Amino acid sequence: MRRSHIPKTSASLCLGLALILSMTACLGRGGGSVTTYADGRGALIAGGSGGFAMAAPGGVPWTGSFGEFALCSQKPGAKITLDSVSYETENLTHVKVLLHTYALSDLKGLSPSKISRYTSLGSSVGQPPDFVGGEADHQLGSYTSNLKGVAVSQTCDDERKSDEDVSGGAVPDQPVQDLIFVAQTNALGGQFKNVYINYTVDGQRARIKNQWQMTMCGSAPAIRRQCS
Amino acid sequence: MRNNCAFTVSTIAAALALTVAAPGVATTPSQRPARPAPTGAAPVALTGRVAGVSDLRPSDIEVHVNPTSATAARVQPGVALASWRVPAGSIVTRQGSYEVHLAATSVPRANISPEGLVNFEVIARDPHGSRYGVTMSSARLVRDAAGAPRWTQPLAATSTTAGRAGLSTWPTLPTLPRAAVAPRPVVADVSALHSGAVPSSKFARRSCSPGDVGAGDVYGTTKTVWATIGTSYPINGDQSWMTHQIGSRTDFSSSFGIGTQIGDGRFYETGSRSVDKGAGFVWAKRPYMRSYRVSVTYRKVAQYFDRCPGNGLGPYDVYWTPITLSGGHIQHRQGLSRPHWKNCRRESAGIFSRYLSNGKSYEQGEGVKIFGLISVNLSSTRAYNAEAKLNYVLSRAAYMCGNNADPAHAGKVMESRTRLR
Repeated sequence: MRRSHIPKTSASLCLGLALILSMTACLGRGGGSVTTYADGRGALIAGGSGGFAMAAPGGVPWTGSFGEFALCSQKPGAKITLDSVSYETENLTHVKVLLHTYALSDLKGLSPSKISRYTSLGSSVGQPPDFVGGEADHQLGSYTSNLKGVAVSQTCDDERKSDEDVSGGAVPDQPVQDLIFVAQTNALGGQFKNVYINYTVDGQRARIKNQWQMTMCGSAPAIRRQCS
Repeated sequence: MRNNCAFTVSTIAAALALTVAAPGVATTPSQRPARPAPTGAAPVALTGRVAGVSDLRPSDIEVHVNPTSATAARVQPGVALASWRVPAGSIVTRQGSYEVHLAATSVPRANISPEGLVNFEVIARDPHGSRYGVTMSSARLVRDAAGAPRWTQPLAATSTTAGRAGLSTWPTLPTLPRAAVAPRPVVADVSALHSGAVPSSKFARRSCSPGDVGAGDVYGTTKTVWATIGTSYPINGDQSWMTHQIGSRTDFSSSFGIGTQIGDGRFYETGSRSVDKGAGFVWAKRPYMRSYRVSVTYRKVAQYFDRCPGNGLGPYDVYWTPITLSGGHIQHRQGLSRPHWKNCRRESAGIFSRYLSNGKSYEQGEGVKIFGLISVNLSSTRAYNAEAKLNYVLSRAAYMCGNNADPAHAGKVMESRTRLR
């Protein structure tokens, strides 16, 4: 077994900016090829198509969290387990990828408004459990950075129903699992790049090439273009 | 406020009279001989069901590849164009379903657009009665990572064109992105069979005297109508906008419904045709709900099958099919109401963008505003991709809600103050 995250760091200069590249690489479990899928194509679904450019809240450094990575299976019956998440970053520090979930027993007996606070995150300034602003700072559930071996069995239809149930304040049949990307940046802003979600399906290694762009807005010209 | 429903901009439509009653107005391109039937190993290009039939036989199904949209746009009114009939041995039926097994290289090159689009028409006859129905759909030919031609969905994500890969008589084709897998055949259901005279084979009659006017598909007038390809629902003074830009050859892809007058004389939606390209446009940022519309040129086609124009019987059916995006863009604000979608995500202040094509496509059941012409509106479908983006500026934290999936995958996305229940 190998570790799923092996940080590397390099530096580059881009448009006058010192851009810090940090990479966690999934080296996988030796041997065998890895099939790369666009999100929506393989057995595991996570991440969307598009992106979010998060406005800087004022004050630096600042921390932001990106969601939109609800996990689901479009291959019912297949055994799917997470291996790791690999990525590069541009001017981001304190990066972590967390799995957010909850137990159904946590929700039973709660009021609908309380249940709805377990719903999946889109994005927020801050990091769990201390999100900043509005309802997000009360988002409930558990967060772990230990992704290795996490099983994903919920079908995408069921995941959508569970998400609707929780959003509507009802206890779902199954809990939703979703990934949260957390990072800190300074006045220049930064972004995630080349994100891959690595998993195993029925013993075969595969990965999703993420197509959801995550940007933390700042004054760097390349970043600013994405925020206007 | 301006109601642009069924607004037409075609200036040539009135001048293009359907002249099917006039003999000898044009010659008919000869029908190409059917190539040898492919083997059973040929991939499935098209599949579907025929409504109300449980014992379909291959002889009940006739499949044609119609001319490309470029050809359909060029032909003069009154001209009959031949289609290419898919060999009968390519059709397999099971209960009420059919499959068309077709080697991509069997399709004549002239019937493949530069973007790989192939326009199928399926004619289904009731094995037990005097009824028939039609449906149409585009499929896209692409090259996979090994360079082999494959059938896939017309709105599937593709990359820019690749080399000919040894197929010297073929057009270049777009390629599947490296990360894409398992192209899926197009599903084209025949949703209804209609009573009345049932035509024999589409080109049972090769020509009509006098004047050697061929029976078959006689092309008529054109009409340009508006079609919705996106909607946005900002709140709190936040702004949204859509970009529709032209990049690679296949990046902007839409499908629009085909309306066919068949059976009782009314028009029914009978499948769709996909079109690529068109002029680019970026809508301005605006703080109100609106729909985004593009102009689409439709063409009238009369199907004579074994009849001759001018013999008094007229065509068996007439359909209006989209052939091109004509370059017009407008916004529309009337008739929109705030939806109640429940797949919501809390977002911080910033810019939410929906693009790329790994989620749901934008679909609008009555997106093509053609009611004024055929008394029914038709559907529109547009893929999200790098050239067709929907964006919201969130000035403060808000919810983004999707209609049929989470907002990052949904076909339609709205902004909301609260999570909807």
